[in-house]
Amino acid sequence: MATQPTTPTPLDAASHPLARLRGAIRDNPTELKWLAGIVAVFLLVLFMPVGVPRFDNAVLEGLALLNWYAREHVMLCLVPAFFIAGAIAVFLSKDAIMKYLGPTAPKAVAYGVASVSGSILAVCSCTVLPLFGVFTGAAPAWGQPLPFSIPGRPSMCWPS
Amino acid sequence: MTAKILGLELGVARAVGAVTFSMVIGLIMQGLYRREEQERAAARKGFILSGAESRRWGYRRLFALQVAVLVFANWAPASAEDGGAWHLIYAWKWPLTAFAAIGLAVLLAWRFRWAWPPLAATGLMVVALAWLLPQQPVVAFSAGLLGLTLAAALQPGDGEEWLSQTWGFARLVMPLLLGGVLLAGFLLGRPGHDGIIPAEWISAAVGGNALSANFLSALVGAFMYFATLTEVPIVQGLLGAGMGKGPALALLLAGPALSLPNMLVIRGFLGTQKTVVYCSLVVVMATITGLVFGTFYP
Repeated sequence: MATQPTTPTPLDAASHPLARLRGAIRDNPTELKWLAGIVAVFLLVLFMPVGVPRFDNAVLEGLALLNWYAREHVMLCLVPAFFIAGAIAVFLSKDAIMKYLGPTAPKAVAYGVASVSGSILAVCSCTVLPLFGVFTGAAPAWGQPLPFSIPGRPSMCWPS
Repeated sequence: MTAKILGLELGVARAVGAVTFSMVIGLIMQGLYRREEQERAAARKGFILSGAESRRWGYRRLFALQVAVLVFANWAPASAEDGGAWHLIYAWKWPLTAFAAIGLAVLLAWRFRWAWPPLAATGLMVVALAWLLPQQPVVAFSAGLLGLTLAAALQPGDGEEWLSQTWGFARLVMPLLLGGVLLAGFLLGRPGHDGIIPAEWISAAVGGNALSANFLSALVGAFMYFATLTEVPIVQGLLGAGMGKGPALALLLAGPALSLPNMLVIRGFLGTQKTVVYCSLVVVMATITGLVFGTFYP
């Protein structure tokens, strides 16, 4: 069956294949991200130098660090820190937090409280994070929670 | 320990630097995001204020006991001659942890009126495991955590809420943290080992007190994951390999403050832009502090 010869559609017509493609890309950002991700991962694993000692060693090091981390840190400090953060979110009154750490609190008090509690609570660097998360949610003046991360660990080294 | 092993100058510089750091960076961040802060303050809705007035003092104990459990369970090892009190506590860390945990259970059952059977069952389980496997305190500790989870799950009201908040944090933080640790290990290796980036490159680059040395040191410190108190032996090793004092301080300041896993998690809370600003600030300040220090104490 012979097909009718079609006249070429102008580029800006809505039905033109390129315009349809452009529309599809614009309307489906998630799908595009998936595609990009899959392609990136594929290229990564396609080109990775398996067999080169440095690479193999690095992979093992990554696994070794993860293994060590899981053993030493997750149950003993990370999970309790999650519980503490959860307790802060549920039990601590917003008034108390705002009084000490909020935007109207005197700066010295806010930074002082944050630094000291950061020191006590930061037994390992990962415990600081859940607590940091609670406070960024709670205190609008979030400049204050930042001191948590920094003095926590170095200050813990003071007694030693 | 910093002062003892690496010298008084570095120890003092580190402590002073760390505290000053936090203030300065906090202030800068606040200044940068002042307008957004005000908007947030205006739009902020209230927290759930849970519990009656009369239970207010119970909260303080609740937190104190939880923190006690956390602190004692993670008490860093120290040999006998390093400091009597520290070492004594270390020798008794598990009984102290247990004591705090029992206090917590009692508080929950008595003051917060939680059902006591799940808490009691947890206690028995923990004691049994501690007795059966005294060399593996993590097992008994984990059983305690599991018991707490179950007790909270079975407790309507504040128990359930607590658990749901806790889970929220776990779900947000854990994947990023574990992925970050894996990546950090791949790139830089464990302390004392090489990752894909050779150690020679790093130590060759951080000798002397050049700006680049300080900057590189701060940068590496920001990404690398440092376990509690391991940064000191690492810096010791690097100093022996020719690292300058300035870059050493930069590493000491940036190292514990940040790591790749930390960055990923912070990004989850603050968004990419603020995280980049924050990390850049840390690196810049560490670099400057190291540079200044290295100029006066080469």
